[in-house]
Amino acid sequence: MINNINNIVGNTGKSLLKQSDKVADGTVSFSDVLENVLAEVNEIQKADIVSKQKLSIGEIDNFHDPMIAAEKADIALQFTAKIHGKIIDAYKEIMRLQV
Amino acid sequence: MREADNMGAFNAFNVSATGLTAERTRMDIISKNISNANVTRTANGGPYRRQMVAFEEKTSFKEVMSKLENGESITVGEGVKISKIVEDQSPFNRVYEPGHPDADEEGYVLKPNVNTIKEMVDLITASRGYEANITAMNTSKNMCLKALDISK
Repeated sequence: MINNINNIVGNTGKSLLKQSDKVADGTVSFSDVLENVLAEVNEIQKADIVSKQKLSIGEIDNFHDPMIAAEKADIALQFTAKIHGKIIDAYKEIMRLQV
Repeated sequence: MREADNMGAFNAFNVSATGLTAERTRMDIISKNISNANVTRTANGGPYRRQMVAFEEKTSFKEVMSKLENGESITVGEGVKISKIVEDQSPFNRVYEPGHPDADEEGYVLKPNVNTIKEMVDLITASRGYEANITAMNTSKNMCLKALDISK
């Protein structure tokens, strides 16, 4: 079953993926995709924290860059939460199948 | 951090950010002109000369390379940047002010070629330009948020 999910992701999520996502048999592992996306969102969050720290100690050139970093972090996090919800929904749907 | 910044999803944000930075710089120069509007003595000698900013389209090295490779003529680009800050070469104002420490033998003083009214108009332009960039950014943010509403 998990393999089937992996194959679906492999077919539909290709644009999201990098070369490093590929596992040995040429398909893409679902957990790797998730990990990569999460890592990217985490990077954006970190950038936001750095710019907020700079803002708080007065080490800024302008006000718009921290604001933009905060907006990016917000959108990325909302997106991640959406994807998380979708994955959980799919998992629940499959667990509900009658055997 | 760099990799996340170059994510296509946030490209519009980055482009707008360059516009905001450019307008801020223009604002700085206008403030400088206004504050120096009556300066008759500078480090270079003579009165203060009005300064102006010149904008330039910003393209990344990657884009220039892909343009050369694929022969594409149109790219999204990375926004705008300040190419240079130039001095206004128009003549100084010559004002009759005999008691002034920088007056010549005839009692005339050279005043900066700064026209405060012109600077005020530039100020409005910079402010509106900044607002326009923020509007563009908010619109792309709203588009992102709308995309999250798909299948809701």
